Amino acid sequence: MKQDKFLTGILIGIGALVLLALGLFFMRKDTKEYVAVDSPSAAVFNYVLAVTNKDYKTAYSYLADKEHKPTYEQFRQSFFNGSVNADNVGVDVGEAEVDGQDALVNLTLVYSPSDPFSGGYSSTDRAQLIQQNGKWKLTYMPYNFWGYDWYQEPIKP
Amino acid sequence: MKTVRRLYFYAIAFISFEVVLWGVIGLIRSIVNPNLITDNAQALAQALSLILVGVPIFLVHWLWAQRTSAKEEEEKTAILRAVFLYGALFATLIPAVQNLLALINRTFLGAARISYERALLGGTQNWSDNLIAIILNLLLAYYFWNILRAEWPTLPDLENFKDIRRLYRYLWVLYGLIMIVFGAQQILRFILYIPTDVIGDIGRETFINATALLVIGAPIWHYAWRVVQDSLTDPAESGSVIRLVILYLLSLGGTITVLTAGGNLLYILLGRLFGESIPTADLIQKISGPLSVAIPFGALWGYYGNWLNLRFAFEENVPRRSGMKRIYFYILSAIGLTTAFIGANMLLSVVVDLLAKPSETMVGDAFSSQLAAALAVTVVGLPLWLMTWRSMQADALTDGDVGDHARRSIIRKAYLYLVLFAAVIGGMASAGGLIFTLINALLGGDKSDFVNSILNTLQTLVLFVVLLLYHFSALRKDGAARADALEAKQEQFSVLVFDNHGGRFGESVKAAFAKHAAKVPFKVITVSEAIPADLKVSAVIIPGSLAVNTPENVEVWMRSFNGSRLIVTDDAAGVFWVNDLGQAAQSVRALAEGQEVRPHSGARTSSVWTTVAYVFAALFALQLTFMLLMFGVSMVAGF
Repeated sequence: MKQDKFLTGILIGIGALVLLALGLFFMRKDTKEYVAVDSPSAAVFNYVLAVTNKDYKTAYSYLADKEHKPTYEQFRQSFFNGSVNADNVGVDVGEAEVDGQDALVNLTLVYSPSDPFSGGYSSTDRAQLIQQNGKWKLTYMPYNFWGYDWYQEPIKP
Repeated sequence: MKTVRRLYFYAIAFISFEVVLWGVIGLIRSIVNPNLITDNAQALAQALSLILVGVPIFLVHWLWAQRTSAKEEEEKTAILRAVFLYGALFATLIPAVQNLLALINRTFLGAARISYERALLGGTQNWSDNLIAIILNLLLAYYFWNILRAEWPTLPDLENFKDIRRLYRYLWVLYGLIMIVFGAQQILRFILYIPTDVIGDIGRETFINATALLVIGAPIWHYAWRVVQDSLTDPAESGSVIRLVILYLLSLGGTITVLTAGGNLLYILLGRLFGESIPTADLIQKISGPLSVAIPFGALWGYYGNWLNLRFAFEENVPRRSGMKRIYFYILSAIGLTTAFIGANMLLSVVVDLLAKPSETMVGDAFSSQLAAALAVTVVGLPLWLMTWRSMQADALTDGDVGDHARRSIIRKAYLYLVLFAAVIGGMASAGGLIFTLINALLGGDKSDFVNSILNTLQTLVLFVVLLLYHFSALRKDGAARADALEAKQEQFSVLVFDNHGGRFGESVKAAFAKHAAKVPFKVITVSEAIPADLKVSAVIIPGSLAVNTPENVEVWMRSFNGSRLIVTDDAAGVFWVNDLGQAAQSVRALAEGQEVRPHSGARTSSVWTTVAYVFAALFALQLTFMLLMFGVSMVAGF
């Protein structure tokens, strides 16, 4: 019966791991808050957080007022119909490079690992912002957070 | 002929029932799923076409199989029937389990408010898709389960069904094991994950997916393994080849994975120790991967390694038991030796770099990374090789039966000659590289990095030479082993050979003994000769024709002989040698129909290796034919 004990031990060990992970799962719940928008990085941070929380009104408020800006309904529909999908990616907002009224913010996009032996993968990209009325507004984000047809002239038949 | 017919009927039955099953599932899904936006006419037409074509074909072939199985015992107990029934059960239960896993996975993700896209599987499905597949697959599984349950008590010969059932059970064990190991690995990965400033809750789905795997995988593995273990009271189960192969695979797989992950872990830690600049959080993140792999595979290795040892102990025949252990040890020894060799080569390469270009080598993290890798590989490989090789070498150096069997073992010979082969080829390549570099430099060729290149090639050559010399000396010691206890036993075992072919049989026996049993003394007596009264032998060899038509003097002597009798098949008019009752019945049927029965004479039967060679030759011929066909097609089609 020594082998049964080993087997029981393995199953108990797995159960213990699951309970420990469950505790950590609830302890690590993401409670990020919006930050004061006093920098281009803060504007990007708030925009990404709003999109992640599906707070589309807040997210829309960070779009720059430029020609061919999507309406709020178009903006929202892009997320509903899946053309913009931020569900499977995380964002680490980096440093900003400011040049007068323009700014570039470095972003690291983090994707979940697809196999047990890898640690996931990440890619770098940049967000583009302009300053309007003293506030930083977005003119470009990576495709997971930006519609390809936003700020594009509509195609005439 | 009947086997080919049987294969046709069961293959068609299997394919057609799968076609019908998934056609019905697709049809019901398209009706029930409110979110599915498709061309309803096309979806309906597709499903109906699969059902309308598949059902009659399945019925024709399956009902034929059932009818013939009810009438003929050969059909009832056929291995193909067992394969079909257990295969159908497997092919319906696995999709049911997979859909249940998808359902549970998505339910847990929904409860945690995580996007379904992050599901391990079935992220784009919904509950009705999964339920429909589960119900319909279980229905068919229940049907085939009932067929099997009714079949077992009526089977006159259980062997085929037992073999397939054994395979079926072990497949379930492996299936559950994969889920449980993967689930445990993902849980550990999650536990070791340190939250960062990344927005998006990336990584939380790992825990959910892992839990879903464990919820499904743990009961399956536990139940399947318990069924397998409970069946071990049957010696056919405990001594089965499948069990041995599975235990080997799991133990070796566990060992190799743990050592690989351990090596990775060591590499990361040593890199940090040698000054590689990496923040603590990133370090923990890096080691979480190999650690999360090493722990579950370590448990796998420990548990199944233990059962493998018990399997070895179950083998009563000592030489066979040692042979089984030898396979395991020599495989690990080969892996350890290769790893240790590479590690030693890498270490010497670091030393050479330090000597040849110290200022370049010591810059940045590259040196610490190189040194860490070299040490990690060596620390993993060397102990593995030492532990396994020393054990085998100790056996080979023992006097007596144990040592003789160990030295003669084909596994040991194959291992030693393989190492020698690698050492010679590697040595040739290194020596060639060394001479090339020297001559190239002498002739005014590229001299950049000359010293480094020479030293590196030289150290590789030296390593190969050391490898060659050491294993060659081991081989020589095996050959020079004196006082062969087994040969001494052979010399005391005398054999008498009766010849009724005018000396030809005796000559054949002489040639065979010279090849396979040169130390065993034997005496050939023709049937017309008188048998010496004081003749003492341990075994007698007689041709088959003599066994069925024994002269009186031989018969009298044989009645008083208490040793072993070996009967060798030979050609004799009207005498046919058959292997079993089945073959006897088939031969009688052929004779009754006036056909000629080919006598199973003393002709050579092909060895297993010949069959293996034929299979590989056939595969190669097939590949070559395909390549030529494609070449021909490309010539015609012009691409």
